[in-house]
Amino acid sequence: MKKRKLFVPLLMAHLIAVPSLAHAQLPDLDSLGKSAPGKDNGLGNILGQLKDLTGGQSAKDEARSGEAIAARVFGAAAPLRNSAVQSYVNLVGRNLARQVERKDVQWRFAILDTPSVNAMAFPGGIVVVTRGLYARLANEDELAAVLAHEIAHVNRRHQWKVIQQQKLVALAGDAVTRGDPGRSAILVADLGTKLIARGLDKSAEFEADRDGMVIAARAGYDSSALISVMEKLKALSGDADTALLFSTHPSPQDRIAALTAAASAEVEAAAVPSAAAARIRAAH
Amino acid sequence: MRLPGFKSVQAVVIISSTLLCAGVAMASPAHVRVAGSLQSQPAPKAAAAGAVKAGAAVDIVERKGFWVHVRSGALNGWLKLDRLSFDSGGSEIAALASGRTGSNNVVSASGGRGLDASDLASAQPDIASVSALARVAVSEVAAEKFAKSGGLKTRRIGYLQASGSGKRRP
Repeated sequence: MKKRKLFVPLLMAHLIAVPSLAHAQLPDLDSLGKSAPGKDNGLGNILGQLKDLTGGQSAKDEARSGEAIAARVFGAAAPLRNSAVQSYVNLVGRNLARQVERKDVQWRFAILDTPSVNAMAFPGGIVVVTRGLYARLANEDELAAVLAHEIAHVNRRHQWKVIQQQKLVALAGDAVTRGDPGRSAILVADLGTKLIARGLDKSAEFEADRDGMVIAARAGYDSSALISVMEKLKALSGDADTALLFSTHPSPQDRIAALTAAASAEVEAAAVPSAAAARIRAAH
Repeated sequence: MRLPGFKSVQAVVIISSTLLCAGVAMASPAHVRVAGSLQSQPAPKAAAAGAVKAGAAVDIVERKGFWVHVRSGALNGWLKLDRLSFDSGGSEIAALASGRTGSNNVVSASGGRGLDASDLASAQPDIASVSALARVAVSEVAAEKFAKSGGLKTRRIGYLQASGSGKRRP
């Protein structure tokens, strides 16, 4: 009993002490389990539950949680009432999603009716771009660059991994919520909404930039279009509509430099306007 | 007689210096962060067009993909974007990048409610809007058809590592 009481706070301290919440720094669950002093210490159960989440049931849980988080965001900014634009964004986004590895995702895309300049991905495949950002995109290459970055977050489960880790920490000290699926769902929606306000680790953003650049280029788009978008964001620096985006992402200049440094010869060869570039205007 | 003449000379000097200032402001100043050769074309294997030192001030002419056309004194050539640091906000490059500027004007950028951290914290869940997403979602087949109708051609490209090596990652 003493061991058990001592270990849970120790685990929590360990998780909290992990300097970054990006997936690259997530503790390995198997090694954590092995270091546990005995398998029947309660901790093993929590680890077991977390492992279940990353197994077969995970895609459903991820989708349900993503929908709960999206519902909160839509409460602040609902999807734009323009079915022509919404259909168009779904066609561009769904085609980009064909280029990623995950096939257990129900992709849904939307433009949100807010002047704020931002784009977001929720666990399970809901991707949104704000009207403030969409209206500033010059062509389909730039729209594809923005959507591909968000698709990359979902493909690598960036948000979902952070939410699961935070859920583990919260549940370790809260037996009541642990035993109640309804309370757990609210907890996850809370964690997810706070994560949107706080942002991911910068390394996850840089990774989504690199992946997104590749995903857009694979689909036939201009691989350098994300740089054009970054230049626009840079020009909007200090604008109140970009406050959340700037507080949750590395600076556009750092992102441009990282993208350029990472670009391979084949990515560079794809830095030409696509045949579909002008199509964004056809969404009227 | 002298006074009006002097005035007109002064006016010419003022006008020309104003034009000069405007010219300098439009030239998008930047500094070289990483020394090395300039290329004659925006391609890694293009012929060299001289060399630039770290810290050298350059003017940006245009951007093309990952390359920037720069001028510095008698030097005139292309550099990779990550070898430069930009002195001002850098918004001028966007204006210089041919064919990549402007907005689609499909929907207005302004008006309505914002979406910041406080808006998120106080938001009430809108489940109906989430359910409605399925109505505009499209199938993979429809998306593929749409891509083909736009003339998009797929490419086989591997994921990238964080470093500048350009190496592939599985």
